[in-house]
Amino acid sequence: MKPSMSRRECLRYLVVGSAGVALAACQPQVVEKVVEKEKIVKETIVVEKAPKAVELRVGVIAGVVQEGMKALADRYMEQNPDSKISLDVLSSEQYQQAFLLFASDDAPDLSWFQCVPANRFNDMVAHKILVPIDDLYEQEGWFDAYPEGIVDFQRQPDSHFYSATIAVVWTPYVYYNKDIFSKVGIEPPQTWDDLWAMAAKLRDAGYQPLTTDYNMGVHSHLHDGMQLRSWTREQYNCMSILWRRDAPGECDKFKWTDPDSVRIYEYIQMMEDKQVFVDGITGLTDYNTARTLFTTGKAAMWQTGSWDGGAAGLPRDVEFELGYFYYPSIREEKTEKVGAWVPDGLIIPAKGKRIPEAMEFMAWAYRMPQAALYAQKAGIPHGRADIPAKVYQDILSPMQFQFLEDNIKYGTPALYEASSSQPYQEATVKSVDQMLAGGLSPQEAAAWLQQKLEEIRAS
Amino acid sequence: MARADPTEPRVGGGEGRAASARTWQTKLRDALPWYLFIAPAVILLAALFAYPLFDTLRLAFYKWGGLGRQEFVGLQNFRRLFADEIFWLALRNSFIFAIVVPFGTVSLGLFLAVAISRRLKGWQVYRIAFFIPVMISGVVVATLWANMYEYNSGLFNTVLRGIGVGGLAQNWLGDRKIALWSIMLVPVWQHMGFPMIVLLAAIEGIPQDLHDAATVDGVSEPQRVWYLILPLIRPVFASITMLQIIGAMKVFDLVLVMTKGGPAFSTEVLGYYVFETAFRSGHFGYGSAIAVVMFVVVFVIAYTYVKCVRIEKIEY
Repeated sequence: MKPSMSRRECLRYLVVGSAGVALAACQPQVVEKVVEKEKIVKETIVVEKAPKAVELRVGVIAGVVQEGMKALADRYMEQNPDSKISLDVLSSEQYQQAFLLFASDDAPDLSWFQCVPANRFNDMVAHKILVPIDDLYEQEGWFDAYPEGIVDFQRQPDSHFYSATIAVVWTPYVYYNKDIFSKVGIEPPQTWDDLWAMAAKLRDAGYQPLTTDYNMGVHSHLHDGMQLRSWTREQYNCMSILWRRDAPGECDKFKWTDPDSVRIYEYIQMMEDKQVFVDGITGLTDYNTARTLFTTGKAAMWQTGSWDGGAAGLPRDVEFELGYFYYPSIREEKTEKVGAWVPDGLIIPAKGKRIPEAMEFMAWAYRMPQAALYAQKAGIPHGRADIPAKVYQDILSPMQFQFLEDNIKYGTPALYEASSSQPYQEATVKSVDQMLAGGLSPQEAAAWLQQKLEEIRAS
Repeated sequence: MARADPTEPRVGGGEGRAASARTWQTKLRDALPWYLFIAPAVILLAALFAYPLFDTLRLAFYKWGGLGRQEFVGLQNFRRLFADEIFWLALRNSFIFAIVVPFGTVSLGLFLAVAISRRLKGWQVYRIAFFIPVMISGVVVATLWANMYEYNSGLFNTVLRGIGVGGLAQNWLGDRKIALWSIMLVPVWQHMGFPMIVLLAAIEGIPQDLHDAATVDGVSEPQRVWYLILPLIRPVFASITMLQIIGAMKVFDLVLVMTKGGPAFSTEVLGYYVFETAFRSGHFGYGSAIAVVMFVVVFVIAYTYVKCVRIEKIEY
C-alpha cells in the first residue's frame, strides 16, 4: 500500500497549485488592463481634452436646469462611454433643505445650487460643508473669463471660492401680449401714468391687465423691480445685507422707513388702486395658475423673471407674439433698470465620495463648448463673459439675447434676493401682503418690515 | 396554554421562588409570539415617532440653525413664543379648524350614514362615492380646490357669473375674511366619507330586533335616529369625533398648497407655522418649541375629550 502524502508534501502541492490558479486568474486582467489603457490613449487622441472615466451623482432641480445638466451629462458620457453621470432630481421641498443633504453622508458628488444666503449657502461655507474651488479659478482662467462683479459675488468672506456662475438667470420683466396691445391700441408704458391709463383701457376692452403670482411674483419681481427704481446703488447694496450682523456700519443709516423705501410700497399700492393687477391677486398664490391667465390670453401682461423668455419658457407655451418691458422710472438717481441673478452654479459637497472626479467634471462643464451647450439647453446666458455674442445669437431666444445686451448696457447689481436671507425675504413678502390684504398703509408696511428686520438681525 | 391557577395553594421559601421564576418564564414563553408580532410596529414607532418626539422636546431648549453647534437657551424659545403674535393667531386658527371641521365631517358623515343605512335607492353607489375623496392625496385635493377657488377662471366664480349672480363671486382665498372658511370647506368635503363609513358600520351593527321593536312602537324616522340609533352608536361617534379633532388640529398640507398662511396671516395654523419657522426660516429650536406646544394642546384636547365624553361599551 502506498504511504499517504506527508504534511510537507501536501503543503508544497497546495502552494504550487494556488500559484498556478492565481497566475491563470490574473492573466486576463493584465490583458484587459492593457486594452483599456490603449483605449484611453486612443480616445485622448480622438477627443481633445477627453474627460476621465468617472461615476458621479449630480444634484439638480427639475426644469431647465435638469435639461441643461442632462445635456452636459450626455455629452460627457458620449465622450467617455465608461463614465456614468446620474442626475438626482431634487423636489422643491428637498431643495429648500438641500443644505442638510449636502452635510450628510448621502451628499451627491456635485450639485447645481443657487448659492445665496436664503439657501443657507453662507452657513454651508462657514461650516466647511463645501469644497473650495480656488484652484479651478486659477487653472481654468475664470478670473479673466468672468466679469469682475460676478467674481466678487462668488468670493466668500473667507476669501475662497465655492462655486462659479453657470447662468445669469434673470431680472424682473413684464411680458406682454402684442396681439392684445395692438387690438386695444396701446404701447409699452414710458411713465407710470401711461401704465395707469393702459390698465384702464385693457379693462374696458375686457382684459385683465397684469398677472403675477402672489408669492415669488411679489418678492422676486415686483419688490425688486421697485427697489431698482427707488433706491440709489448704495442703498441697494446696503438694504439687501442689513439682516447680517456684520453689515458695514455705513449701511446703518438706511432704513425701511426712509422715504425711498416707503416709496416702493406706495407704488405697489398704487398699482393695486389703479387696478393694474388682475382681480383677486391676493389669492393667486400658485405660479402656474397666475401664468396661465397670461398664456391663455385672459391677462395682457405677465410679470416674472427674464428666464421665462427663454426657448423653454413662454415662446414654447404661447401662440401670440410676445414682447417685454421694464417698469417705468421712478427717480433719476435710481440704481439701474436691471439687476441680475448670478448665484446659480455647481458646488462640490465635502462629504461627496469622488471629489477629484467632481472637480474634473466641473472644470470640463464650464469650458467651451460645454458652457454654450448648457446655455442653449437651459435657454439662459452663461455667466462667462468670453462667450462671443455671435454664439449667443445662435443659441438664445431674441428676448434672452436682449436681456444679455441690457445687462451689458445698464450694469447689473446682484438682485436683493441674491443677498438677503430667507427670513428677511419672507418678511419682505409678508410686508407687501400686510399692505395689499391686511389693510396696512405703505408707511405701516415699511415700518413693519423694519421691525422684522431688527428682530431678524437680533436673532 | 399553561396559566398559573390563583386558587392553587401558595408554596413558600425556595420552592416558592423557583415556582415563581418558572411561572414568569412560562408567561414570557407564552407571550413571546405576541411580542414578536408587535415588535416591528414597536421598532418603527420608536424610530419614527418616539425618537423624533423626544428629540424635538430636547431641541425646544436649544437654538439651532440646522448646521453646527446647538446652543442651550433654556426656556428662551418658550418665552419668545408667548410674545409672538403670529403664534397666537395660528393657535386661534387651529382651534377654529378643530371645532368647525370635525363638526362638519362628523355631522355630515352621520347624516349620510343614517340615510344609507335606510337603504335609499342606489345606496351602494353613495357609500362608495362619498368615500372616494378620502382616498385622494391631500395635496391633490388642495390643488384641485385652489384652482376651483381662483377668482378669474375658477369653477365657483365661473358658475356664479354663468348663472347671472356674478356679484356673489368672491376672492375665496385672497380675502382674509373668508380665506380660512374657504380652506375649512375642503377637509369637510374630503373627509366626511370617513365618519360616514365608520358610523354606518356602527349603525348596521345594531340588532334588527331593536329596529323591529321600535317599528312596532310606531316611531317616526327622526325619532328612530334620535332615540335608537344615536344612543347606540355613541361610543363610535365619540371616538370618530376625537380622531377628526386631532386630524384638524394638525392641518398643514392644505394651507401650504392653497394660501401659504396668507393673506395677511389669516390662514396661519400651528402646523404650517412650525414648518415655516423651522424649515423656511431655519429656526429649528424655536420651531421645535412651537411643535411641543402644539403637541401639548392636541394632547390636552384629546385627553379632556376622552374624560368628558365617556366612551363606554354598549351591550345589546
